[in-house]
Amino acid sequence: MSPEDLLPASAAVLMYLDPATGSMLLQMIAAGFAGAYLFLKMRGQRILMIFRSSDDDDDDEGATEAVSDDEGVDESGDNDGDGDE
Amino acid sequence: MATTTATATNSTTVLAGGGLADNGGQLEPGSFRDRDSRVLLRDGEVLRGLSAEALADWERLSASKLWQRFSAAGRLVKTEPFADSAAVLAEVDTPGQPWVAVLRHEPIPFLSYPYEWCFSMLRDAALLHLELLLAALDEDMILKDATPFNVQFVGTRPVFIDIPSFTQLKPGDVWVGYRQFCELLLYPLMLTAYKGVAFQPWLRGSLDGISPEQFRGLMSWRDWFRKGVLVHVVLHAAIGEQHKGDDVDVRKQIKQAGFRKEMIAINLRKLRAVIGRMQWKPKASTWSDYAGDCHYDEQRREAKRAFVSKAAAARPRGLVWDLGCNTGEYSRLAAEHADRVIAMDGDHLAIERLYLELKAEEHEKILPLLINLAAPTPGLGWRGSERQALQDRGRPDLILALALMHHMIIACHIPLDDWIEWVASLGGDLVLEWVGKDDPMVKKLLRNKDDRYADYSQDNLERALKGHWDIVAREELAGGTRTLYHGARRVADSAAEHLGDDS
Repeated sequence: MSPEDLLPASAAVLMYLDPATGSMLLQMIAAGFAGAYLFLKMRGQRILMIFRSSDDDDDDEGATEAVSDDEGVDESGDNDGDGDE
Repeated sequence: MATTTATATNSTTVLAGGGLADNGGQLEPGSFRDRDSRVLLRDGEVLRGLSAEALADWERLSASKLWQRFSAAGRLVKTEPFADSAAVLAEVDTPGQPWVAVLRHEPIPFLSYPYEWCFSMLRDAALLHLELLLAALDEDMILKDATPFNVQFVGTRPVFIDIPSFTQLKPGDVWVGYRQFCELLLYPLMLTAYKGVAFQPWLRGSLDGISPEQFRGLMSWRDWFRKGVLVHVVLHAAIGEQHKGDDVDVRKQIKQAGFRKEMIAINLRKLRAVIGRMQWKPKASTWSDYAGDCHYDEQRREAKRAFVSKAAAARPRGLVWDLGCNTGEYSRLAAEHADRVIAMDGDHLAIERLYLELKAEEHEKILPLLINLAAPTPGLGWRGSERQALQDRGRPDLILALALMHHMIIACHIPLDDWIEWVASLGGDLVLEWVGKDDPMVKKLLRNKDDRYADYSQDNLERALKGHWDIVAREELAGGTRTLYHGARRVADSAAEHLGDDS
């Protein structure tokens, strides 16, 4: 029996979490306007979801896509966190 | 002479303990974290094995302007390639890790740790980190980690010791040490500056520092408006919570988004501004207690100074420990006859004030440390030897214990014989000031207590002292409640102790 078997499922998951992810993202916010803009560009969708109501879904998605296109960010899909939502 | 040649190493420090390498060298037990370098103590020298990657980093660093500038200022530990590296490379055989080169570091006279520093020492260590990082960015380098254990103090001069922490910064890289900087430097400083809570017990209890999530819990709404709190604490913790389950390569994402080193520099400059303005403001009433040694008239003070000076000058002293140094007046006297003095006190205010005074004088002989003498720093970390116990970092040739013993026996309840045994176990000569029960300061300690301290008597003290030292001088101070003793460590005792150390 491994130690993980003795823990609740949520605690076993926590053992593998990398606490540095948030700290690396925070650096973008701490780096002034340019960094904060990059952060919003990368993770803005997740933040906008908090404010988004059901009737303006389409507008928000369009705006986010436009920002990504303008900046030429990798469009392969692994830069905007869509694998983790 | 029992002086030490200790040094500190990557993310840490050197000296006792640790496994022996094949030919008698000693692996530094605290230098294991970085797989690209390892410290070895050999024939009194502090050496460091480097991997091929670490060697490339060293070559980059040693050719940089940053190296010239900070080495010349004494802010980077003196380091040079070690000539006889082949012999050392044969010794340091680590499975799976081929070492390709060896560096030699100048030893640090006496190691200390952030949980023994006052507020301004930790602040100066943080500011040194930021200055080094800013200079490193200019030359496309960065520090791999950001821990105060990478800084040591020579007197009041902070010295960065983890040379292999400098590494190449590639375009789009983030500052990977940022979280550690918050946990071990920024938050402890905020704790004391913003909340008035001592950081030392937190760092002694948690060598990894205070996490953003924990620290946010200590912040009130009012604190959110203090410099740096909203971004580095509140948002930091919130984003950490939000992204803790992410299963993506966030470093790659950030790089692809267009992150640049100039953004790291903006963050560093802001942190420098926040920390540079931080102040610890102790209550004025408490400060005033330290305005001077008010318990002595001038005549007694002069007699005491003369006694201490004469005892210290009896022979050349390598290392002196001043236990309960208070204002540091007698540490300064001893420093005139010693290579180094470690001025220890359990009072944060006393050490803060002494550090600031000595720093203004650029004094390098006296190292002020915050030490609870009723619980001297133990060995901590992995196997209890990653961070050394106080008494393992160098034994004193001379111990000053002036007007201290009544605190240890009456306030801290340590039996007199036991306390004397501990002092004797440190080795070295002793200058001790006895304060009798008829002295106003002892009466104050006993005011609201039953006097159950029968062992606290001058006869008992003299009997205990004679068990370890020859009393070469004894002087009763005017007033009759205080007596000074100068004990010379018996040669036989001292020799037996050193034999024990060597075995």
